[in-house]
Amino acid sequence: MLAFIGRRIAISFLILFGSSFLVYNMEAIAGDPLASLAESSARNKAYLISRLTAQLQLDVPPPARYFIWLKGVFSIFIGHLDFGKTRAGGSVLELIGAAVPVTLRLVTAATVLAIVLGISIGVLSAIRQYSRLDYSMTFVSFLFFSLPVFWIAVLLKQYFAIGFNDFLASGQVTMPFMIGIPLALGLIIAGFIGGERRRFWISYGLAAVGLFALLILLNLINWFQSPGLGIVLVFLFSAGAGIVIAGLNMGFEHKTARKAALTVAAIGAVLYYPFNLIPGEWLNLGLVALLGVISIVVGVFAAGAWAKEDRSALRRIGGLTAFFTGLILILDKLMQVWNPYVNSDAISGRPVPTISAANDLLSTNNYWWQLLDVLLHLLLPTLGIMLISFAGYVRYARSSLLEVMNMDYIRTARAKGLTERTVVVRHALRNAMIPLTTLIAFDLSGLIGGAFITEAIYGWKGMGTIFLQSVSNQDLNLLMGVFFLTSFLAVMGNLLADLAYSALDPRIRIGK
Amino acid sequence: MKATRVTRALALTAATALALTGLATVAIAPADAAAKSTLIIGDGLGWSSLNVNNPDENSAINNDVAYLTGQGFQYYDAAPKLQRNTYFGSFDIVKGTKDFEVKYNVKPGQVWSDGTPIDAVDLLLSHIINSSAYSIKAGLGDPSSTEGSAFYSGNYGGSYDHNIVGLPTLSKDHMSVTLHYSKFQPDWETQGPGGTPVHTLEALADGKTTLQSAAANKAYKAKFLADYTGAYAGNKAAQTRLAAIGKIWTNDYNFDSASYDSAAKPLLAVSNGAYLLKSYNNATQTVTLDLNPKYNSGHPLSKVNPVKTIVFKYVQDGTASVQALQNGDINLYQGAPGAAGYSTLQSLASANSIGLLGGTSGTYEHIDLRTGNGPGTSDDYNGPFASSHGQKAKDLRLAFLLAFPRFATMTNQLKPFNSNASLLNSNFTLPGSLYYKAVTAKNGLTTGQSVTIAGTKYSYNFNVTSEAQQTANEAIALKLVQKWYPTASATKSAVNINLLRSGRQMRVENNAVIVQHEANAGFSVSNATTSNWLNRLSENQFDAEEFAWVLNNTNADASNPNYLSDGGNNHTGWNDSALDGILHKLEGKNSTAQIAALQGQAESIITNNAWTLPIYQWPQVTAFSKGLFGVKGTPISPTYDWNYWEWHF
Repeated sequence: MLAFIGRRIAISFLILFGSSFLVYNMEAIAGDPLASLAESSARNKAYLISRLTAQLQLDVPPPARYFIWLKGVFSIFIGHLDFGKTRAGGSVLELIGAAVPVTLRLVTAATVLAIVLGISIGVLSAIRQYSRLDYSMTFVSFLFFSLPVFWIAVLLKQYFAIGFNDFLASGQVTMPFMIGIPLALGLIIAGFIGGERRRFWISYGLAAVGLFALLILLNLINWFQSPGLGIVLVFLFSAGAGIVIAGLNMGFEHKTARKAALTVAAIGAVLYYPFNLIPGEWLNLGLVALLGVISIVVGVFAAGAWAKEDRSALRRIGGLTAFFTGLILILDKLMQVWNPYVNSDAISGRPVPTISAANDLLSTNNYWWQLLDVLLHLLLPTLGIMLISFAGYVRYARSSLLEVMNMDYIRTARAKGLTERTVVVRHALRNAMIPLTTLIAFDLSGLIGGAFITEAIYGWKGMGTIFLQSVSNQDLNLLMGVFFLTSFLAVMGNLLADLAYSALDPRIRIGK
Repeated sequence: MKATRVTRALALTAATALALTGLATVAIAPADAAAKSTLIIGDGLGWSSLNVNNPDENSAINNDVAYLTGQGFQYYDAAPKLQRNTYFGSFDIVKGTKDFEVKYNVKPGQVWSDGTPIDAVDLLLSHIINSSAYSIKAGLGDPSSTEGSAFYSGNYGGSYDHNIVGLPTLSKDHMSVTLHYSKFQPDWETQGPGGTPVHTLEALADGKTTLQSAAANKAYKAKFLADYTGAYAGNKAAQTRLAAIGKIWTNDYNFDSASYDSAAKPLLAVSNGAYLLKSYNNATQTVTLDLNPKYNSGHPLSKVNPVKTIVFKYVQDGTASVQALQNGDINLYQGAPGAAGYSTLQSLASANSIGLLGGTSGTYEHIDLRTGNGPGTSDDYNGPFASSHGQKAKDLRLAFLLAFPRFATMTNQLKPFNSNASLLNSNFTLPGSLYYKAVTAKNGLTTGQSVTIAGTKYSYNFNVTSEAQQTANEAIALKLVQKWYPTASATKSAVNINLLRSGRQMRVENNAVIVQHEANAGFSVSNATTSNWLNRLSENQFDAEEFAWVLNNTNADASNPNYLSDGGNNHTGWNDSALDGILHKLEGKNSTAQIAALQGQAESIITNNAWTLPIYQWPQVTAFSKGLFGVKGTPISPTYDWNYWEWHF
């Protein structure tokens, strides 16, 4: 095993330096950093060209210049990594250091959501193979998969930012939407519920009528301008989440599991008022995370107290329910600050932005305002990336699970009388996820460099932006910095995927 | 069982009622729209520095911000015409043409944003960052050496550097400075000094970060003057100090990868502009400027709802900018948003939801024909356009330019962005400038010309306004080619032309159009579209070259390097002694009418020689939110914000 890892790392380094040598020389030969000076009518052009030539060492031929650059990279072994200077004289390392967190913020949520949603829908699709749901999910995922990200961005901005902000001016859903939204959403809900044709249409009708009534109600109380949930809805939503979690973990017929989940939801409701009394100015990300951890611990123990057997499963249910209850409490809190946030001077009635990572005009130390601002700025890019990348996960999860479900040991599991839930969750799903690990590990390693179109469209200055900048400005050191980091992560991601695969699948043995 | 149901129903009703109370919260009245005072500008370049004299930081956005945060003796208006800023001071020639002197007077009563009075000592830093002689003598280093000067300035090597004599003379009352030049400076109006709060540089060199007392600032200013003169006189301590200031000046004002907050480092933001840098967020690339309460160095701001805060937001993509404007994320946008973006802007403008100005930038496209060796090339050029071939080459050059599809190029590439787009008809000046009309009347590009081929006189006009006219010109071009190659026709090419172009998308899209139109005149054009075109401009293998010049000033002799036989930008071997004579006259002292006449003469020689044709100015639109007033563009830096004092909501 160690020998294998050693060999792989050695090969990775060869690949890394070989490819960087090639890219360095190709870029140095293809692009000319002096090009922009050529069109200048400046009198001291000769001086400017000589300054830049000296600064970027353009008089050294590219293959030799590569080794000057490489010397800086190898300085990591004497304690200071040096990727050289950008054309503008800044440190490449600092620039990349500033860009990485921005990119991570942009793509992390989207990727996690795409993985979770994609796999869930893929699993559902596989369980209900050849159903209405399966067909429509296949259609939808291929539709999004084939849409270019910049086009989705234009549509999202037009309807979810410009259109939604225009709508917020009155906050009243108009009649066409009042009819259209229930008709469309009802279809989705009924699709998920599934069943015979008759049951499908009944649930469709009920869902559509219910949604229609809900919209009328929301219009009446002007909910879209000043939204909120309140203690009862917070409890009902968390209870619902708890019941689903309990059902998935231990079966919907398991009473103790349900009781445990409901207890945790009830604790959440009890804590509703104390939680709302905490001033937003006191909070920050660390404190909120700490509160989250505490509530998960509380949830774990509260649920565990019900246990006569299966303590660990109950604790898992308690923890997960506490987690979702916390999210619902935060959602309610954000809804409460929505109205003052939207009507503040910095936002002036148009909360969903089409560009930027944050609103610098918003001067507030209220954590909920800041969180709402960050989330609203993340909304469109996250939706865009998610819609496009989740399709792959849907397809992979579906086919992988289907393959496993046709195996002999699944038939054996069914034959020995296990419930379908146990067969799917315990026996099939775990094995179906193994091939997906490879995909996920590889996608995660590509996160850093993979979003340059999205960054450009939404005006974020992350890795993609500085990469494009380096290409258009012929900024070789910057380009190499970005390239080196992304290729390093790709090589490492590949290695980790292989290792994870062998750890998860006992049939795979590495090194022999 | 029944009881349970009733209980359940009751519970449900109660829960619903409670839920509804939870849903509804109290609404707060919307913000007062009339109170709007924040202008958000979308910009595709990231801001990076307050110091635009650093050659690495001389980007358009940095210049835009620098103009708002600092005022000097002059600015360009919408025409573009050079205007003097009399709020800051006055300047004029005090002595003759040969031994040339210009005196700059700072208007008394002005203060920097920290309250320190502005005087002529603040103009002296300009000399340090413009004069190589000073830099060498003051021990700061030779700017042209590999180590360079301690002040990493992009100004060394210009006409100021070549012609300045000695130190500028500071008046007794420290309110004016006189510059001595060895000869008349044609661009003397633009190459004068600008103000810098030198006391803050001294304070920074002392390691201070906070604003200093009035007395300390006075002492720092005196210290700067002592260092400035002392270093020149050879005082080692002063030289070391000035070199330290140079490092600060070079590095500390750049924010390529760091954020800035004026509360933490207020000294860096001290300036005399209408707005001061308040903060820069590196993660979002957002720059925030706030009103300078002590501003009195320029036009007073609008009395009605002036802009109090200016935010520069980073948005790179054209479509994204248009949608951001539509959504109110930005209030002002300038750029080339692409055809789709432009049509959206037009429909928004016609629905009266935004304001839109079509316009052009100071960058213009042109086609050059080689007549001889580029500088530094030893092999003799012997291509079809070589001046050594005499009349034959001249006829072929004229034919090539006549057939060059200027009209189609302009229609395809500009009309989608700007329905008023027209051909550019001058190499020296831009439409709207002082000389454009006079120059184009004389340069032969807008007036009818004629050429005699085999005894028949053919009339043509370069200023093509229709495809039919272009076709007529191409027919004449073919006759010119047939004069030397009788078998040439639209289907049988006689002359092979190797055309060099940069790999910009706009030009790549136009390749086929050029090839097709030139074929009509018997030319077979092969394209070398490359991103490495700069180093190849002088290569003799290229008979023609299409690229763009950037005009960043309106000086009379701004174009001289392009056309003088020994000019630094003359890559195509043009050589005409009559033209050289006129161009050298443009470097002397002339009246406006004389300049227009000389430029017209020079351009008409260029046209007669059939060396080059201007094609068009690059498109640029300015769009702004409804409710913002006073926006006017100008093609020359600082482009849209030249008249910030007229902006209001």
